[in-house]
Amino acid sequence: MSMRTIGLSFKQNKLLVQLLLLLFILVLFSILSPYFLSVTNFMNVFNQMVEVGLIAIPMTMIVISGAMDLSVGSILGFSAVCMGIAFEHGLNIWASVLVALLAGLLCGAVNGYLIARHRMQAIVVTIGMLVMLRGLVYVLNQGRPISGYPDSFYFLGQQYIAGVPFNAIFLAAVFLLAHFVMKRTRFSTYVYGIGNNEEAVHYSGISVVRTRFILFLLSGLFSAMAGVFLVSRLASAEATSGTNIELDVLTATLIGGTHIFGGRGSLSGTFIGLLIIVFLRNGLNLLGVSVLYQAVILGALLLIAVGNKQFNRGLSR
Amino acid sequence: MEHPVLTMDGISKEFPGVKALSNVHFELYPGEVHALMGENGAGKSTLMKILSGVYPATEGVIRLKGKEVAFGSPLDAQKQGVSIIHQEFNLFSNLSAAENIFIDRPEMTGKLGRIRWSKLYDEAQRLVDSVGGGEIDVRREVRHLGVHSQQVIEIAKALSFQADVLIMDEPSAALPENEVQKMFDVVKRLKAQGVAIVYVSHRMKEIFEIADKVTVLRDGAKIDTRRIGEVTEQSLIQMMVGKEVNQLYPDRDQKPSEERVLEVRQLSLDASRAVSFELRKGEILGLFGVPGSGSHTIAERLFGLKRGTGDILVNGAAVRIRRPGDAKAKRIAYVPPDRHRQGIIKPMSIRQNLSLPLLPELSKGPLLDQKRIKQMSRDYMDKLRIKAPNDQQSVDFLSGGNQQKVVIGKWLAAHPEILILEEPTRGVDVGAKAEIYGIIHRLAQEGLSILLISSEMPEVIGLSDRILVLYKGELVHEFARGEADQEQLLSRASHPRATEGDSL
Repeated sequence: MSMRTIGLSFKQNKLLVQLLLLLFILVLFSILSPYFLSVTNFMNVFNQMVEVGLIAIPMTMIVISGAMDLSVGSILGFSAVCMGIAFEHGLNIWASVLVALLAGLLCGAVNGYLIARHRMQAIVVTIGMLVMLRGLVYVLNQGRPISGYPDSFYFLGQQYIAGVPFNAIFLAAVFLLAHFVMKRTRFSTYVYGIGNNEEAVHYSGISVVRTRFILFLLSGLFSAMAGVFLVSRLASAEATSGTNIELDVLTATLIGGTHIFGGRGSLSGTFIGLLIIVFLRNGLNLLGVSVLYQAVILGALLLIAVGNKQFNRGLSR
Repeated sequence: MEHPVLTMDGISKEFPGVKALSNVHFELYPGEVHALMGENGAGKSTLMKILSGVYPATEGVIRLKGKEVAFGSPLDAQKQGVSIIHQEFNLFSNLSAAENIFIDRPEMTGKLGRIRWSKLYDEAQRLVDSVGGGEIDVRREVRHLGVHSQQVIEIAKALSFQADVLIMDEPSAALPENEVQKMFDVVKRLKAQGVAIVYVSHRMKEIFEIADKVTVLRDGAKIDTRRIGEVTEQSLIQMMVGKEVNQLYPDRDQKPSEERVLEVRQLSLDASRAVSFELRKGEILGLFGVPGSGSHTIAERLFGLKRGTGDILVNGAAVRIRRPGDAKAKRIAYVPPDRHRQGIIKPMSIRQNLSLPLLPELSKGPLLDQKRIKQMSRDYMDKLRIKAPNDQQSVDFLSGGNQQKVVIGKWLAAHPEILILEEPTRGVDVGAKAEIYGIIHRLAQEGLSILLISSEMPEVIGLSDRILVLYKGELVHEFARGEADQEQLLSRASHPRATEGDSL
């Protein structure tokens, strides 16, 4: 019983623990680097976190439902390149954006169809898509970057409104909306239910297939959105766009307290997890720590933040 | 006089709140086949779990070949000479038969963990041959072997530990009819080798064919041990069932209406079996059959968990039920047999569990209508007397009876016309049982039509207005209320062609 109460109080304070970790990182880098604590630097960080942040929203939902989507980076790249090609062929830029979103939805639909309808393993399917789509991207644009978009398009990724990057405002708004969805809708109950006991949800006359399908559709759509924002921010659609982004997304999700086996997790946690990793990266960059060491540190953080809980459980078993 | 190879003396087992076994005495002699019988919940499996080292007895002594023993684990029991073969085989289908027999055995490995393949195959083949499995190639992967051969592998595995005592739990359940005889041959060989066999089975016919002695348990106590020649099928059933106990059950005297709510015509259970029956308004229709008889499949078909052929008519209109959602739309509800896996969602609250099937109605557009959800969940908590501080509590912390009430409640909230209850009181204590029976009775009086599928005979007899008996996918008999007692029910379900007085 005492183990249980400890577990419960820890759970209630989980958000607090994550906030403290974030605060620790902010204070640490403020001390270590004179450039860290400034409005310009913070806005710069916010401007760069949008792609990971957007994808982390459906990823959190998918992980809560007990699955995973590893194809998000390739969907991002594929959508971005589709948009570039559409634009090159003379399509209006906003119509090209629509092409990108449709491409993302299509990829999500393929994932969803195989995983939800045919009950294939999510990891297997999305690894397949990861490899396949990345290959397709290179085939489509022969590895050359596509640039030269109209100025109006750069608004998405480069414009600041009252000193705040537009894309960060967009991300915040979408996060709030998604948070609301996960608190107030029937859909979220199904997502949590499936993550905890898929069979019981099925036995309640609720379509597990539909819920899972929608999740992967969302993931495709959000990955494509991230692709559009990335192209706007960097002014170029490249074959490598979005490579390895799934690792950052998953790290943010897991540091945010979402359980890898599903059933538990929250978007507020993911949001804090996201801030933790972007500020950590930024701070390490400012200190001139090499990207390779950054990877080591991020991985260690993940092991400590997520591993310690399961480590404790392993001990108490 | 020969000495018993195994004596279990004064065995009692208590679980929190339940006394599963009290002061049971059991003796087993070398080379005998000893049948263990009793109704579900009589304590057979508890006794066998103690004997095979799954858990220790609360009280009592086990002596093996005269020496007092204590088994710390099933592996420990195996090493000391007691092996069990479960109904479901525990074989690795992707390994060869020989590897399965000698899995994790140091004597089969040489230096640096190298496996001594030739010794492994030779020894395995020798063991398999010794139980008459000469036609089995022990180098083949188990998944290529038939059910009977897999059972032989299980037996060979048990023998590889020099088993003195072999427990066989419902050994014929997984076998097709024509392979049961082969299994008997194996049992006879083991017997000739002096192995003592505990044979747990519901099937009368087999008991009389293979057993030398029979011990009957009832309500956790041993009733008697007899030589097989001293008993008849009737007297055995009498021993298993004991005196009728009826006060648990409400008086059902009202006549159900003639209105047919559900008609089932040639509903397929598998490729070759199909059933037809009907359910009237306000009726409790009991469906009884031993495991494997197909009663579970009927529920799965009606609730859209399994597809097949045949017609289902609800209120006279043919309906297509291809998934649970379709059944729900036709106001068919299903309380499944395994509440942990299929009924409740563990860490979620009582409120979330109760409202789950009904969420589409308890929403405004996509948004949950928290006020109505709260109202509904409070209502059903009161109505079913679910005992918990409040409905925000996780169902994890509820007793089995209260969890079961949550599963029933979540379906009642959906206002079904037809309620399928499967094992509605499995793993529920007696007090909660009586409450659940009261609820079932009241629901029927209010006009709900109930299909009650249960392996507990008293429950089926005590509640049902009619009872259909299912045997191997066929409806073999129908009893009106008051017509059946447990003896008749069991004899119809286990040996349907027998008529009274004509036992074999």
